[in-house]
Amino acid sequence: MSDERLRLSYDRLLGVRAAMSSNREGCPDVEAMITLIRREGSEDARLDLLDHIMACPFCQAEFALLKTAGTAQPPE
Amino acid sequence: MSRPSDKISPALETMVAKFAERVRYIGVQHGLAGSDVEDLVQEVRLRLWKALESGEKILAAPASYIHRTAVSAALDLLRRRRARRETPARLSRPSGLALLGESASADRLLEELELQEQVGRAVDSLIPARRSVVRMYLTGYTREEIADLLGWSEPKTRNLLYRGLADLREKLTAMGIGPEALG
Repeated sequence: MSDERLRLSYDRLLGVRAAMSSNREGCPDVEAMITLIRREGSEDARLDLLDHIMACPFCQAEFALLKTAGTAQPPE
Repeated sequence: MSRPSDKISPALETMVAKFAERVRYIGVQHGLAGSDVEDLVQEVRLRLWKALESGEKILAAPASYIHRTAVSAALDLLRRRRARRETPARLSRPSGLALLGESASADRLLEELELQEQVGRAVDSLIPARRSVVRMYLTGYTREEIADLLGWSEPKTRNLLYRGLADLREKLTAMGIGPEALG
């Protein structure tokens, strides 16, 4: 199966998860995501956090936003 | 002694309770929302009752049968909704048990749904370091972005990603999902 097909299936799977449940009890807070973006904490802890974020459609969207905001440069 | 029909209702309730979440999942997967999702659950209940006729048969129905019934019912609901919105006169194809298992698109959608679930399970079973990298990659991040976020070298990231994707394909193959799956 091609990488594109795998990505499509995974994307659809997350879409269904988002539509099925909005329960976010197990989700990390924003501060935890920021520490991940700053590469703080142990590698194991960051991998654990990343694993959740990339499997959770809600966290994934927040993380992408935080990452973009974190790397954005102020206007000259 | 109770008549057979007396046992249908508890059997139906048992099966609906057991599979309701699954049926809702299928409904959402096929574009249903709000009350249509609950309509789908009721439609599946009705189809099981009409098709299987006895409590014993209902309780013995395999999950795959419920799944196909739900997919077929979801597609019929969508067709009915579209037909109402477009041209009521074209409401020519009745919803019914005769359609069960006969729709090529239902088969295709069933395969797609199962593929998604299997991809999800296969990713879940990867070892942690590879799993996180593969998840990021499948989500759309590039190898460079993954390396940057984890503070890894490019060769390390590439190695973990390639091994992770190879593991993933191996697990999918073991599940019966080959390279040709759904194009």
